[in-house]
Amino acid sequence: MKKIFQHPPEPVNGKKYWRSLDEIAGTPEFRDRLKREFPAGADEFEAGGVSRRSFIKLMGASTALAGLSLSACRRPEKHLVPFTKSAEWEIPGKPLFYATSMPHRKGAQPLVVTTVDGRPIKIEGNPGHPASMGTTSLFAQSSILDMYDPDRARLFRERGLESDSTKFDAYLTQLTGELGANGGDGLAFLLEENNSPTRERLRQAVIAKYPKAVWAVYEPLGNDAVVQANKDAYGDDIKVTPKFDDADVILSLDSDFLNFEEGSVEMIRGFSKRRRVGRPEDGKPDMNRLYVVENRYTITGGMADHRMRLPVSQIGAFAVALAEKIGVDSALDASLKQLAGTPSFDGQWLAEMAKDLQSAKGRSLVLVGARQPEWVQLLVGAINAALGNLGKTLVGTASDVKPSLKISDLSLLIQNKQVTTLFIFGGNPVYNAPADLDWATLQKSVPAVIRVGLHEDETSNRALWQVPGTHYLETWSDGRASDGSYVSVQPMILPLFGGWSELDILARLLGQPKPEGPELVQDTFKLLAKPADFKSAWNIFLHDGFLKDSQLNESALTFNAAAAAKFIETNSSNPAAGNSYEIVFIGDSKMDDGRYANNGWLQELPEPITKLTWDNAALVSVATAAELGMDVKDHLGKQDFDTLEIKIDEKRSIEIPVLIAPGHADNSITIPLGYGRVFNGNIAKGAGVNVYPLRTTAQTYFAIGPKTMVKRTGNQYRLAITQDHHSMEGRAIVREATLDTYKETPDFPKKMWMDAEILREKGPDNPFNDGSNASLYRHPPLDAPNQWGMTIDLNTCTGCNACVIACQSENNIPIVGKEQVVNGRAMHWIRNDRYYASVDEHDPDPEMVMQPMMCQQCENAPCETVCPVNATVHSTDGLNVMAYNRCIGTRYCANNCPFKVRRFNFFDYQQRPLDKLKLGPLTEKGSPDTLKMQKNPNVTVRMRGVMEKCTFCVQRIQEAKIAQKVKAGASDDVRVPTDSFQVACQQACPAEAIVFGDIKDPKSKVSLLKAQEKNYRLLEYLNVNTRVSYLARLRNPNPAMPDAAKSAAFEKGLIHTEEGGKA
Amino acid sequence: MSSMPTEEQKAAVTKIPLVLNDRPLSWITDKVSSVVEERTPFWWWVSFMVTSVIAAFGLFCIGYQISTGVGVWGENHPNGWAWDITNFVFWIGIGHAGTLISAILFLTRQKWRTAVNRSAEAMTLFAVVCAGIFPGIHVGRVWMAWFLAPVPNSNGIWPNFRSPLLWDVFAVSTYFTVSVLFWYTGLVPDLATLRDRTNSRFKKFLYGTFALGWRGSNRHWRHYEMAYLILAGISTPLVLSVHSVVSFDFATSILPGWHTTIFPPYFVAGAIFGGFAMVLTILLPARLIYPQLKDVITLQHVDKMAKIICLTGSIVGYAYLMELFIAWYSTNPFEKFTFFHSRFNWDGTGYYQWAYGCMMFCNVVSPQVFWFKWCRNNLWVVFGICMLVNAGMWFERFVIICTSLSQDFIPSSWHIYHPTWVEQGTFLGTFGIFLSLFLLFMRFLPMIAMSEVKIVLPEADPHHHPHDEEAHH
Amino acid sequence: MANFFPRSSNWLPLKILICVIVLGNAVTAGVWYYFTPKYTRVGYQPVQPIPFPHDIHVKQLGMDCRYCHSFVEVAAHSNVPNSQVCMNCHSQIQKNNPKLQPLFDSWQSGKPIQWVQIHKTPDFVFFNHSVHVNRGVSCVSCHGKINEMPVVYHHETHSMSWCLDCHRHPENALRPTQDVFNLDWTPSAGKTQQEIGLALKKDWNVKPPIENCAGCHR
Repeated sequence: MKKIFQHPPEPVNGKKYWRSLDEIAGTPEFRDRLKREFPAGADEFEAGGVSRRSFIKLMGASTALAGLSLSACRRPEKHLVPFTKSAEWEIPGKPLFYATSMPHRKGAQPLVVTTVDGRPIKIEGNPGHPASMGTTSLFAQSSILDMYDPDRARLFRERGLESDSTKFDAYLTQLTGELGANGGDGLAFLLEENNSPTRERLRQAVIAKYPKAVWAVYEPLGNDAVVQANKDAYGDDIKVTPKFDDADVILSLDSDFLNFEEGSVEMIRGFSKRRRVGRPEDGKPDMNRLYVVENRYTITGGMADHRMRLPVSQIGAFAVALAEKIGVDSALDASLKQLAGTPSFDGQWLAEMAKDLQSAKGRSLVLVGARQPEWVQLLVGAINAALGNLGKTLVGTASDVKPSLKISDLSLLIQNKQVTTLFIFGGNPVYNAPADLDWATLQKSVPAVIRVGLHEDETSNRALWQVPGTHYLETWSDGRASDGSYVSVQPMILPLFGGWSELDILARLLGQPKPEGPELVQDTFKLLAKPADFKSAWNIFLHDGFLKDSQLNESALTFNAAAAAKFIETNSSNPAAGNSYEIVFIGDSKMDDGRYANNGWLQELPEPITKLTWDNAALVSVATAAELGMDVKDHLGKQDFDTLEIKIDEKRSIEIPVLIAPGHADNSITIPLGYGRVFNGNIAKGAGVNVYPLRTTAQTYFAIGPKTMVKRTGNQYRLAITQDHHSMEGRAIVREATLDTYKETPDFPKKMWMDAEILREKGPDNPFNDGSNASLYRHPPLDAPNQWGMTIDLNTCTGCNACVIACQSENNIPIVGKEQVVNGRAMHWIRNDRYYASVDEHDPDPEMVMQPMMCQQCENAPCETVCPVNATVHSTDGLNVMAYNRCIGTRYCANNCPFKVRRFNFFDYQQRPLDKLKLGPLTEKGSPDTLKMQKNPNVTVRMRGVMEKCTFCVQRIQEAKIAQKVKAGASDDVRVPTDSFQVACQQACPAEAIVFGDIKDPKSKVSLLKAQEKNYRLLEYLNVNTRVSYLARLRNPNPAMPDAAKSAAFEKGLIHTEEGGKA
Repeated sequence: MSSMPTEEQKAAVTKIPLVLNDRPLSWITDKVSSVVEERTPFWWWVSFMVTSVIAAFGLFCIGYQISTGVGVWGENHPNGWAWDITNFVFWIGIGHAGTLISAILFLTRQKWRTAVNRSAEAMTLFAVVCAGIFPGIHVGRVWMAWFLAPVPNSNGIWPNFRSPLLWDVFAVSTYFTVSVLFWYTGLVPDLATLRDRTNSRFKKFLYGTFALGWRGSNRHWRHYEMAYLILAGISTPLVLSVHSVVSFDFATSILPGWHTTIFPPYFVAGAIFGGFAMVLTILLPARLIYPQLKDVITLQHVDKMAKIICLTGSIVGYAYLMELFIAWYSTNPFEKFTFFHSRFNWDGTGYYQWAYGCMMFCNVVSPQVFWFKWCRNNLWVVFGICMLVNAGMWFERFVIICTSLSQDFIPSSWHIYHPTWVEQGTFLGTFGIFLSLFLLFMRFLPMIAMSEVKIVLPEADPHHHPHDEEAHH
Repeated sequence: MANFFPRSSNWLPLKILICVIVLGNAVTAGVWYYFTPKYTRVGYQPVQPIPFPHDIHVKQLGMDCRYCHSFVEVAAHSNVPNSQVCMNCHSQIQKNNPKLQPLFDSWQSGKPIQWVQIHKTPDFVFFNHSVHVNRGVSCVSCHGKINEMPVVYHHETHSMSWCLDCHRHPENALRPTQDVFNLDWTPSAGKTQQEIGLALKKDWNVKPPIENCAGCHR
């Protein structure tokens, strides 16, 4: 074997490998893209020749090459492809972190993006920024997949025919000429809402250059009413933000502030800070009290201490009644009289609640949903003013975004043929504009429509120019976070499909060349920061991701009652609760307004309340369902559901499946928007029903009509719902009590159900207990320096699902498609279990509780003993590890798992097209390259026939251990420092409900939490000794309230060990 | 045994004769061999066609499932097992009657076994073949199944000896091997008979080879009976062990409805119960087709087996009721839920009450008619009941697996299971395989152990004098 | 009818038995040797675009491993040098050596050189160089005496059991950290590798993952 090896000359067969690379590295536009990437002004990046962002192209090439040559006799020949030149900061296989932010209509969300080998693979919050503190929302987590979406627009199209960027560039040059001549006559812009200062600056410049140009902004889920109300009530463009820190009593009127209203991350963080009880550093047990009045269960309603279900159209009436009780500014008396009607709701409930609010003047907070009309907004303003909350729990900040035209105004202009050139940046008006505008036809009537968008969608169809847009991870921009601070948006990678951003085009219209780098943003930065030393200031800005102390200055709030009264008298209409149905249009908690429809993670994510995936459905109460003649009995294993035909008038009607939603208001029908997209998106295709046709300018958020407009069609529709059963069947799985009970018996969870006896038996006072929990089998010693464990605080967990997506993107978890979800094969490693709880089974007002459920990392793991091949075993640091490549897929472990958290790859989800899974080998193998790029390189991509499950992000644990050992070198200091890293779900959780760490270290966060009395473990009865434990949930009911008894009774129902009340 | 007859041998001989119309030795040989020697009847070709087509379809389903993934079955997240393991346990159970008859009844000198043991043993083998398929194909990565084998390998890993699945592998393979040997040993003398009767050189060679040069010399017989006795001794514990081990798959787990100590005896009883039902399901038609066998497989045999079915059926019934009692008596909420909600489902919270109903009726109620002699002697009734029992035993396994899996500890994970055509096809296919094999066996091997039957004939008794019967007692 | 089978056939069973035994052993032995990495990997020595002689660079010129494999101490992946690194010297030295032509081409064209991979762990194995070299495991333990190889070949089996051997008994590989990249290091006089290894294992609290699958499989 060890002979002297005479090295033959290299055979000239290298050529063929390079074809694929030529396309990328060879072509001229790639070269100049490289050049364009870092022009003068961004030279601080030019450490090496090739930039990290172009490096991905080489990577792509080399992966394309791998395994091409099979010449070797013993095994296929693979190649090692180094760069020719070093790329800046690039260490192969080592992650790099860049601060950026995700633009959103309500302000950008500060982020830190993990890139490996030039590919962004994971999104986290920006720990440095107060609006994030390292946590993220669902949408931020999933946005990475949007960038890699293989269905994104790749081509420039002129009149639908393939074109290219140079032609488009030429067109713009010509256009600038023409428009310059006539002062921009007929020029119009339609954009999505966005508070980017740079965009605002360019906008001013464009308007200056083309005085006749029109600038319109459209958001299907905008908050015009709020903006208007603030204008009238406080004057100016003032943005009012709630501050939860010192709000003791909170009333939410149809405001899902924990999930959907602006800046949800901040909201959850602020709110949960006042829900977190008994943590040593928080001192004495004390929490805020939340009243919620809403028409359907939202996760905000789930957190409520007292909840009233009321149709959206009755919220106004409720506000009126409340205003009278509280006694608002006398200027409003007249209008209140005019509005006063016979209330359709429990007056005592309101009275007691009002008392509670008044008892907390200045420490209370009344929030109203953006969907409520302006007069209700004003009333609530008045109430807050009367409660002295302005400036205390509600603060105003000036906004630096000037108001724009509405889409309705623009459509008028188009009708009058005043628009000849229309730029549509993002958005999707053909799909989501109000039905009465008939936007599709309008758009056709405009001679030149230039559409910049991520997808070739409904709107692109009739455009003169369709231009591929850029994802925010591919482009330079900026924005303002929800707290108003100035944040950066920087590209992680060259535009995958060579798109243009809206800033690029605006710049071109200003006669400038298409910007090659950050210069536009830099100019804005100079204006805002006025830096002494630009270069270092800019670098710090990019490094931090935001500009320190750049929040917009607060402005005092003084409620202008007179103006409010004036408006209300003229514009309010208070529909009486009568013999009618209301149709409520809500933004979907996964699709938003439909913009995420092609995001597989979101489509397959179970909706937090209904657990519905891949579809939208109308929600109705049991009573209403009965009224509609539906079978209201809850059948186990039901998959096909009735459909409703909703017909507002001849032109406006849809057919949609209907779900019975416990806790829903009667005579009210809730329908999520954002589904039923029709474009070439493989994920979005066939998902749900488009509800926009029902929606008009007048009836943006709810429409009221006679009951005859809704009827059962008799058809059935199959829905993919991930949770079949809604009751805990009297098993204390989620444990909760009132705050008072907690104060008396802090360890109440340990006394609940069977645990009282079991823990006593396990405990020291059992004479037969020798301390060792007897086990037949020898377990590996738990002697590693770190012992990993987790707690989940059910008191702060809202069920927002951010953890589920964070886990999915961290761990390369596949989506499986609707049919498989129907079959019960969803792959999520974290389940967000939702239970309804009521003492009386037929109570229309059940409680709702959430519980994240992942592998509990049992110390006596039932799965380990039954695996015939040792594929899942216990590690010395207490993990229940899973060796995928050893698994042969007997599924015995999953059967024996009491929590049913193990997930099996029934098909080759990672390799085969989801709609043809059953054709198996007959279909083409392999997933699109862009999707491969997103995969986390530190986690095995599982094949079919393999079991998988939560591993506590073992890759992160190993990274930490290895880093520590490398640091230790020739010493014995191998213990990973306390709380030095986080797992994906924990890092994402805006409520900080999930805490992971070293339970061996008494100072670690998790140890402190596990030491709390209200900490409990599931299924003690099985003696599995889980490493995950839960902090029991607390409610803070107001004893004076008519429904206060309920929580108490419910809690009793649980404390009994037998299967007591249906809990 | 052909040596001096013991008292009870005499007694046995003088009781109701095991072979009616005191047929002579030669008659036995002729009649039994004739089945093999006559030219292949038409009905055989037809039925063999049918069964082998079914078998082929089954194999197709298996191929499809292996190439595409377990997903083509209906299994899902709470229900990691369903028809696959149900069928496995079902077939393994079928096998038991064979071993019981050949081993235990042999050791306990139950002479009536001789008429049926050959075909019962054959049935055992074919059933185990069918059973063996399922644990093989139910895994997600069949091509990695060698991980189960305890061989030294370059990965330096061994299988997990704590896992009942591994015990299954050993138990079933041992069971199969021993059964084959036992069956074959019994065949040797008869093969020799066939060898000597045939004229075709080819058949002579074949039968001859497998007859291992049997000449029926005294020495041969001594060795033969010693070997047979030893094998009987070896396989007796297997009758009990195999199904006990299979039951450990469930008993050692933690699932309510699985985790119970009553399983081993209850499974064994059930297996024998189902096994005998299957023996009759097969022998009664055979008896119909070959009237000449009526004198060998007599009503007396049917009657005895019906009694066994009645007994084991009652044991099984007792086990069912005991499960319910324990569930109630333990006050364990999970157990209670599984039995009184998932299985009985008196408040609409269960998925599978209908399966439980079938099981209860077929296995507990129906065999009770065998308390009545006329039921035991009416072949149609017997056949009908046996069919019911076969179905019932399948449902028993289905109930155990699916009710427990679909609704266990955490209600949010509950989910129903629906079989797909692939599972059904696979199960059907195993019947095809089973019947095809049995048809081949009928056609080419003596269905009845001639040598053993002869032993129980009066003539086999050296002191037998046809003329002065009564002089003997 | 005369005896159908010839007398000789009485010995047939015995003969068959013997054949089976012999064959069985042969097959087992064959598989044992030819189907294991001992045979399939060790000695693998593919044709490289440039016949890079480690012996010259390391033994003669005394270059340190880390000059080219610069990230081995910080990253999981021990990188192959890029053309830039080679050119640092070869822009001056051996300018006209035809064997180096691929290098010059790649430097000109910007197309990377395609080295043929020799040591390859499966995708499901997450081997980390940094943690090994920083904790006193030398290159030589897994790659053999690279410094004496004119052209690199696969020296060890790199099978899982081979990994485990060392993870179970790290003392056989541990050495003082400063000598990790000195492939010719031998235990100082009067000491055995065992003694040194055990001492270091104790001092550094070396506990490589054994039953903890996640150590290498994630």
